[in-house]
Amino acid sequence: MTDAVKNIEKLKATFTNVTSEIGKKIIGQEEVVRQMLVAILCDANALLESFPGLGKTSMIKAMAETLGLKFARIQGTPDLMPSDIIGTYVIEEKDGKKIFKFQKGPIFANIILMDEINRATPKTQAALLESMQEKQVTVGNQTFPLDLPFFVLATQNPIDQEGTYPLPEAQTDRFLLKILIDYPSMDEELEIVERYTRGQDPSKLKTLLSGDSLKLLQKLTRQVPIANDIKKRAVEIVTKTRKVPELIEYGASPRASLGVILAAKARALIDGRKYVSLKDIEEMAYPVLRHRIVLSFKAEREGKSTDDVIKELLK
Amino acid sequence: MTAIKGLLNEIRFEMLKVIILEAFLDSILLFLALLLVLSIFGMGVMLPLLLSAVTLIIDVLVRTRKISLKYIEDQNPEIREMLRTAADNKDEEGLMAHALFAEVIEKMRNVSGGSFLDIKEAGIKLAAMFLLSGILISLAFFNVNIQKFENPLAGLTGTLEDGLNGLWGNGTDVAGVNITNMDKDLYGDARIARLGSEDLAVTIQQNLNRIDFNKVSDADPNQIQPDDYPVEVSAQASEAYTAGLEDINDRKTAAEYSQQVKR
Repeated sequence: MTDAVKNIEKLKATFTNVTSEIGKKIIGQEEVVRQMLVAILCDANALLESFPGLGKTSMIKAMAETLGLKFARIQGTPDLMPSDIIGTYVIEEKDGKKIFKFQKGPIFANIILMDEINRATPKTQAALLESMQEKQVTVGNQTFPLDLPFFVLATQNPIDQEGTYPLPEAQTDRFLLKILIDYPSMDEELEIVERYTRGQDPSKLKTLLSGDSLKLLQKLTRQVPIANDIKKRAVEIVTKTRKVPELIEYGASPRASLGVILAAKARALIDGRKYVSLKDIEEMAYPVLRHRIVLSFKAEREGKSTDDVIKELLK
Repeated sequence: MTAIKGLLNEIRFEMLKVIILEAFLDSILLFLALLLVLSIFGMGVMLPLLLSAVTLIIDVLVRTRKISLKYIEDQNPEIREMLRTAADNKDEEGLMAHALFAEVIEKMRNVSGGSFLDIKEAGIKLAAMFLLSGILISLAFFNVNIQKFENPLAGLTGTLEDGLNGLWGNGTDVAGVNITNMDKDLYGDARIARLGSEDLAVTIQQNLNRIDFNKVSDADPNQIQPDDYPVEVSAQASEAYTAGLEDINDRKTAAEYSQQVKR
């Protein structure tokens, strides 16, 4: 037990190394990487909202490489079928006989990037979301479990919304976090240009963690202790979203309370702490709540964003 | 898990000691302040003592509710949020919980019991106690009588003290007059003074002071010889002043009275 306790002290260094390793390919965006790590440690999925060209695919690929996980990318298009995601039976000839063999789809990886999920049809979206929830795929009368750990990062393009099928609130509620990617700073963009216009690809990233280590870390995340008053504060924040009709038309569900506390625990573990701080709750309230609340007309008319409203709730 | 429970019990015990110490300081301060104020009205020590005892009990109860683990964390930032997280999860068996307990126990080694006490506040109270004690001692030393104010609570305090006197004896009746402790400064302790039941007959003889001018005459002229001057000159009465008194008891009474007058 003493050795295990001592090993926990090294976790902060491990996560710092993971962030640094990803930083060899992705410049800036440390907070985005940390939030993605939070979602992975919580054994949950995340929505990513960003403008095109901000390195979403590169970032998730780098993370898969560092964590030693299989990566698959699915591009959302209006003609994408559920079988294109989960797989299908194909006829195969073996020993003169024709048999049906199930060919696994891209969803049978560990980390899935579902690019522009709002472009796929609702039926395809449902197939993906069901797989996310159940961690298994059912085709016909057969069930195929997915490889663990399993993490879906679904992206939505905030512009160019014509001909899209936005995820309904009931579906977005299944994603633990909604991560926003902003444009890089001037210095960061200069470094990106410097690095990627010289024709020198960054070296292959080191694998710092394995799938089994991640499963253990996911268990440890749930064991991080939290004080009663801090737990109460988290629930207070979520219930408050249902009591301010002048700002919020539809508040967050109890799933959000679970999400805030779990995300705060993961945050504490990444920071090397063995307890949840009030600061963790307040920082994770933003990515957990921003896709679960619907602003009132009055708030929208005043030009308030969901983050502005969450900031008012935290006062 | 046992270690963390032991630590939390120790912390609670230390907190209780601090609470009792601070409550005692408050009640002693109140006692001295009340004693100073009430002595102006010539009241005794019982009322301040009673009020201080009540204050002590109430203060302990109020402070017990106010002081919590969060208070200790505010005094020691290095254990902020850790201590109460450990307390709320003291029955957890997980690896993370054990790691937290180990860290809390390690950090609490550097926390002294004195950090639970507000040293500045305690220092101010002690200084105030010294000041009040000094004033009270000075008043007693210089025998400053500041009982010139009428006691507005005389009726109440008289009733209160008579009631208290009832605890160890009734007021003393002397010659049909009930003497309470209020009168003891005038008449002395009523319990000591006891007058007899016999009537005394005291006669004051005026003869000693009467001068008969008819008997006054000039002295016969004498031839003064050198041997006539005495070596020692002293005045002696021709007879004792008590000679005229008829009764021996009257003589004694008169003699004693004369002695008192001389004093």
